[in-house]
Amino acid sequence: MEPNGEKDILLVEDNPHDVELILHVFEWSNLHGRVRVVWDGQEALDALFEEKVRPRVILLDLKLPKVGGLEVLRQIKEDASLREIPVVVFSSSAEERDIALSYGLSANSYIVKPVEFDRFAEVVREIGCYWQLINRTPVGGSRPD
Amino acid sequence: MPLSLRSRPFSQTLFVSIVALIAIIVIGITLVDYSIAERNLRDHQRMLEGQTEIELNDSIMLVDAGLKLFDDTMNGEMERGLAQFNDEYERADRDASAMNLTRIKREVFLDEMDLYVINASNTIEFTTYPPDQDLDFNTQPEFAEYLNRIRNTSGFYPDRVVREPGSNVLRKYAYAPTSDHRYILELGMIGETFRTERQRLKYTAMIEDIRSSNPYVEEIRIFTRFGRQVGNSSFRSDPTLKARLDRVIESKVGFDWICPKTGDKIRYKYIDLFDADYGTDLSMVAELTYSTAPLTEALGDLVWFHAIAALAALMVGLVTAGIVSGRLTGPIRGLVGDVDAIAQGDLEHPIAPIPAREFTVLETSITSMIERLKGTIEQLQQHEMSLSESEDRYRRTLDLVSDYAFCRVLESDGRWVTVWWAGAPERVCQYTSDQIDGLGGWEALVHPDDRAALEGHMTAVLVNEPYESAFRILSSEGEIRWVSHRTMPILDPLAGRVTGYYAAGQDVTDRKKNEVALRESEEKYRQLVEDAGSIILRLGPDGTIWYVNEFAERYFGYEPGELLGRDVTGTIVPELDAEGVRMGDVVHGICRDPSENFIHQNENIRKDGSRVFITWTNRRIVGEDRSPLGILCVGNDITRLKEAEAENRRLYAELEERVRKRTEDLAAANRELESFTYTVSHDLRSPLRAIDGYTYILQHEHQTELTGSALRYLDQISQNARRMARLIDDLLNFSRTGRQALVLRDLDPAVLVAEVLDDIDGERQGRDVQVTVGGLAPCRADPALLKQVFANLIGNALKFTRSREVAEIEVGSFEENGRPVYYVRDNGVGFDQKYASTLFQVFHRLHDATEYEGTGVGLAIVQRIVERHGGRCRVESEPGRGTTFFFTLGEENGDGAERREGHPAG
Repeated sequence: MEPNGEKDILLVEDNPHDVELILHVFEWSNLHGRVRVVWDGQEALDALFEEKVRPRVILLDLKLPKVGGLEVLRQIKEDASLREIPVVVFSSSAEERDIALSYGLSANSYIVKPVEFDRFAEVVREIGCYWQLINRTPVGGSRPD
Repeated sequence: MPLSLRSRPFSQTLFVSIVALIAIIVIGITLVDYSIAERNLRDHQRMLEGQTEIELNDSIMLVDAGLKLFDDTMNGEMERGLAQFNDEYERADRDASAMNLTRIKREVFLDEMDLYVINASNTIEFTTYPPDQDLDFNTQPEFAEYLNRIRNTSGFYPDRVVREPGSNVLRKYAYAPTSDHRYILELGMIGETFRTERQRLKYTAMIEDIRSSNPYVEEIRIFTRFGRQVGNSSFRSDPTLKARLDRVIESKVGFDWICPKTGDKIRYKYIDLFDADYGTDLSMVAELTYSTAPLTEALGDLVWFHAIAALAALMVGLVTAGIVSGRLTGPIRGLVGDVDAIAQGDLEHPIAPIPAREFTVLETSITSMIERLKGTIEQLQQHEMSLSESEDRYRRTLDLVSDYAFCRVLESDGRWVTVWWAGAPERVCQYTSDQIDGLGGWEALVHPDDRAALEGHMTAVLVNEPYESAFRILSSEGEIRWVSHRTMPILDPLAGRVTGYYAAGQDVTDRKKNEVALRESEEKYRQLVEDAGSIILRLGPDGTIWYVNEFAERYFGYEPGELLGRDVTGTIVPELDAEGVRMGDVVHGICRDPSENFIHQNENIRKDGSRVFITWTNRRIVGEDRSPLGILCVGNDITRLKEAEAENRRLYAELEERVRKRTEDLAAANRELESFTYTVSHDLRSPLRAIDGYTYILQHEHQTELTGSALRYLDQISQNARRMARLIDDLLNFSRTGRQALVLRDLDPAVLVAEVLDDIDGERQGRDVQVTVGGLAPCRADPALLKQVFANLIGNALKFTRSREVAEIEVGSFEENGRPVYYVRDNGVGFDQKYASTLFQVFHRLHDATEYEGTGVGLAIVQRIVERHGGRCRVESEPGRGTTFFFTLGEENGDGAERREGHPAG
């Protein structure tokens, strides 16, 4: 855990309600301060390629304005400096096709957003804990540790 | 020419040839040699002539020079003498008449010289020699000229020694002019003093030498300018000679003169001895008499010599020729003799070898010719033998195959004579062969009306042609019989003409009867064909129309007979049919086709160009001997049918097109729907999540601010939102099951059921659930969808047995009407059977949501899936007794729903 204000989690989500609810959940784990929210695909790409932010995990919705989630995923995974950042596709779509495509583009995980909030909260919390605490990123990976 | 070369022996000819050759050569050489020799001789003679003349000239000149030299020796003396004379003249005071010449002569010259004084008129005025007194030198112009010349000069002028004309005395004169040039003083030395000395130089001896050295020269004479012969004091000239000599002297040129008497050539040459220094010109004329006699003699000798030589050579040649020709022709004669012997008949006679390549070859050739001849003779003998054998056989064969046969030959007197009979003519005509011969031959039996046929036979025989015909004969009982009669001429190859013929025949009376019957039958058949209502053709193997029936003609629009003999392609069969197939090839294919029957359809064409369709039955007709007689084609018009077919096809194609379009549209609609539902479900879920989320937060984080009923309302909000979410999911599912493609596989449903039970294991916790899985017949279905069916049914069973202490669920299958029926039975709450039909409708529920949750889509999904597999489902239930759901899965390949979906029945 970095105390220096670096945003560990990049949340790419266009639905403000979903954003509010996710942040609310992250608050329970005290992670909300580490979340950088971008509202569309283009903003996500700008943050990653222009500003060169290097979060520890990217939460990516698929249905995004401007640049779609899959396209963002593809670009992330094609970039050598971004490839190793774990991307969790976090979508309300349970379509087989979307799942297949996402994994085809090397998404690290695909999670369907449940409607029931309790389950939703559980999922988010687990994501946060998992990627933040449990999961190991490669040494000398996306950014100096 | 009485002597032709063919009858003379070769040796003679050869001999004569060789001799002639030798003769020609010899004569040729002789002539050449002779002419060369003659020429040489003549040249020699000429050369000798030239030499002689030159020699003469030179000799004379030499002698003259000698004489001159000698003469000059006296010059000194004479000069002194003339000086003395001149002194005397001076002493006489230049008065010539005052001189006493006699005294001077005596005193000064001791009587050795004569003195002369020549005056200015070139006359001897004073002299001691009386004969010359008053001699006028002007009569000798040249000498006068000389005197005039010397008179005006000073000096001493000696002259040559000359013979004084008339007296033959030798004198030497010398002249000198007086010092006053009035007179010329002359001294004349008398010759006696020097005569003897001079004697040595004589022309005569020299002449004799020269003459003797040239055999052609008969005589040489030299004459002085005065016509006197040198060396011959007794010479008397004759006028003709003088004339000739004068000519030469005057002209100073020689000439040739042929003596008319002897024919000798006499050459006169002018020997020019003139010396200007001397007064006297001692030039001479040489006369050379050439005789031709020696030459002629020599030539004669030559001729004789050559003639003899030639003769000798000829002789030798003759002998040689004789020998050579004899030697050469000897072997040839031998060969000739050998070959002749062979020709006479002795084929074994050997041929003596001859040592020459050509003869060896000849010998070999002759030998091989003889061998071949022997072989041919043998062959011929064999051939003759086999011929007579063959004739025998032939006769025996005719015996067998013909009813009668005979052989006739033409005699030298022009009569035909029957040589032999075969067969049994009496069977045919009731006459025996002898009787027929007696009647004059087979011709006698021929029916009067059929005479022409017989004539045809005889004509053919005479031109070496076989002939066959059928005609009637009259039997001995007057019965008319038909015979098939064949004649075959016999040609004598050596004579080059027909010498006889064979004849053979058969009784064909019965056959004739049959023929008539056949013709009648054919006629009937033709009638049948003509009247038939089908198109009937007969084609030749190459496609030519041999026969076409009336119906066909009318059908195709042709005049009667118009199609006969024409190619079927191009008339009733078009060159190319509507699809561009070359019909000509098709026709030829049919003609060649080995199969007996061949039915096919093709396009045909009427005369007016309109196209029709005909179905043809083609049959190869063969004769009794299996030779093809053509192809019989029977056709029926199917144009109408074809048109209907075409229309059908067109409609079908149209239909297919429409179906395809419809399917496309449907597929497109499906895709649209798919994307729509996807988007919609996603968009519908998000707000629900928000609702539930905020509600949750309110419920769990703002409890203190809310009343119990508020919290309860919030709970309701949350529940409804979730319910809606479930509804959306179910609807989505339902929609998908209707749309997604079936992936059919052969599977064992037990596996799927096991999976389902595994999935719902969680819901079995805390309950006593007995699940019995019976035998499940294997089927062919989409695994995912079938699993969903079982999941929904088993899920329902589980749900509606909640009230039971022990939930009993049974899954299995049984066979009904040859197909498996699957069932899921539970001991749950059940329902009234009369509502069974509504159960499968979407959203239709028989229990309200408070009692049993559920969206009411599950069974609709089950039904849809089952129907897509071509099956049916039904339910049996009784309130309080439980429910059993049955379903089948349609055909083996479960195409039912697919069929419904898009593909029209074929």
